[in-house]
Amino acid sequence: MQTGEPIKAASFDVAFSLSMYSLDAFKRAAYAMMHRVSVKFDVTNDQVLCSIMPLTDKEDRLILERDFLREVNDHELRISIEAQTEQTRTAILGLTFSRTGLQG
Amino acid sequence: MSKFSPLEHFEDVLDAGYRLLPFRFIQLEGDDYVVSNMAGEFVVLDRVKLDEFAKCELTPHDPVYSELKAKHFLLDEDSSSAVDLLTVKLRTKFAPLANFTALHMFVTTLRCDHSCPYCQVSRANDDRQEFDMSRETALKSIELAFRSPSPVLKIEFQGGESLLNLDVIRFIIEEVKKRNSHENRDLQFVIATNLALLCDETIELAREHDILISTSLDGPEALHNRNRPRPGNDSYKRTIEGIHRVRRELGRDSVGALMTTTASSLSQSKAIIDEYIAQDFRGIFLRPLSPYGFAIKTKFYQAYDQSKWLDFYFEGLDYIIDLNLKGFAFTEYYAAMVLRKMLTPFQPGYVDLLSPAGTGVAAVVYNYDGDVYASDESRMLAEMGDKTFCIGNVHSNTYEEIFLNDTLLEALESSFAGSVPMCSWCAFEPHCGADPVFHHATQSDFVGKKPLSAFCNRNMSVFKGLIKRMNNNPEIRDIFERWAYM
Repeated sequence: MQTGEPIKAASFDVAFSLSMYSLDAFKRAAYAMMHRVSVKFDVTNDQVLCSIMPLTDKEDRLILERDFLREVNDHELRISIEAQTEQTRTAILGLTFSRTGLQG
Repeated sequence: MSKFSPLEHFEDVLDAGYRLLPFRFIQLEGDDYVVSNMAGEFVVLDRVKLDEFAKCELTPHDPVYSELKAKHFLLDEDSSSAVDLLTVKLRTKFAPLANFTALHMFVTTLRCDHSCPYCQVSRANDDRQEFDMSRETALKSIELAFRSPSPVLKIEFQGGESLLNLDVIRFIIEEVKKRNSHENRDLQFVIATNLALLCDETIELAREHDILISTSLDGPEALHNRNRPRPGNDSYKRTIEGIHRVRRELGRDSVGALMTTTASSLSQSKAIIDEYIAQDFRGIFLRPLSPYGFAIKTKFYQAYDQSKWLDFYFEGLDYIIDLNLKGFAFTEYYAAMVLRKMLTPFQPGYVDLLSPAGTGVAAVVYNYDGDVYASDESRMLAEMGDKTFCIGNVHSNTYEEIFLNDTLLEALESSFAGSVPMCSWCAFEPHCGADPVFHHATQSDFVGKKPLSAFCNRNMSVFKGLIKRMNNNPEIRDIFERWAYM
């Protein structure tokens, strides 16, 4: 293979520690990338093994792995923010619709 | 004694730290992220700064701290009103929901003198009057329109070519006005017409009732005539003559125009915009083609892919921005509606950018035969044989049966962007809409899988494109601010 040529992506596995990430982060990442990959999860003890299956052979494995990791990291942060702000969010929504006259 | 606390007091307050208010984020490009709050206000941060902010590690001296505080992304000891202000902004955004349906579209006929291959409302030949709305159907439809609690009733006449049934247009206007003498709604009338059949009678009717004219102009003569064939191949000439006549007789702003993008348009964005400028319009709506009606039957929809439309759109948008930077005021209306959501607490009434979906809520269609559709796209879908969004018939259903229709309620509830996969964590959710009809048509699902959705891909690309442009250039930001408040 010549230097710089994309590494065509066959299925590959990436393992993550569940002490660092929640399973939801992987599920969300897989959903967000469904136009590029199918992902199968295998959970054992404190680890999740993600089997990543590209939908086409045009994908570069390294780019795909990087993008999947970015999605997982982003979703982990989102989940953390959602947990921290859930009560405020509920309060804001409650106040927003509290005097609309739509309650009947 | 000083009336003000010493400076140290404020530093002590700020040093106490902050807590997060709800926000979402999404990658813009590279390491830049768009971070938005519940009301749609946004900032652009790089990933490192985003992490610092989310972990509550920013100091008050950080340059972005004040912006995040001003836009209600954080709450510190010195900002106790942030939750109340967010609530007011959010309530302002959702306030139009309480008014329910303002736009009532009457399809006066399916007949048309044109035979546009992309026509989204499959037309009938113009001599078959069984495709005309009857007075009885019109009366029943008017009855339903007045059941809406909206203080504004916008009555829009659609076709086919609506003017081929001018008698029923006149009848509806007179009946609506008669009814309104004790209802006191704010009435607006719009006739959607290709203007080819504009006559003295129509002009007089429009003058008498302050009717606005909405027409189609697809671009320069060759493109327009190719897109919009009619006997004599003179659609462009008739449309332009009609626009001039309406302006001459009814006033400059009595006529607006919409263009439809086809595969032939994609290489002509500047020429199309130049045509609108030549015809003295103040802006243009660069529209994508919808997957409905003859557009899909004739493979027009498949003929161009989304990325080509996005290239067309941004080439046109940049051309328009450049005109504005040189001092010529001209607006791209789709961008203006998105910017209204991004930069103001207000909502445009555009059905595609509403969540809960505008389907049946912001607009409703009374078809020529009495069938009621939840949107114009629902009617287009029905003309293809899918009547999922036919929510009743004016002759056989009550207002309650129509607007509490199970299909409509299920579509509205299940597609609400705040609670569906991907939209619920997307930073653009406050700027976007829900389109259950589009996703039903393309994925047989009211919600739709957003990574596979052309609606999501298109809007996401437009949102990112607008933010990149205004983030990189304060002059463009000024132009966009003006568009947002139009």
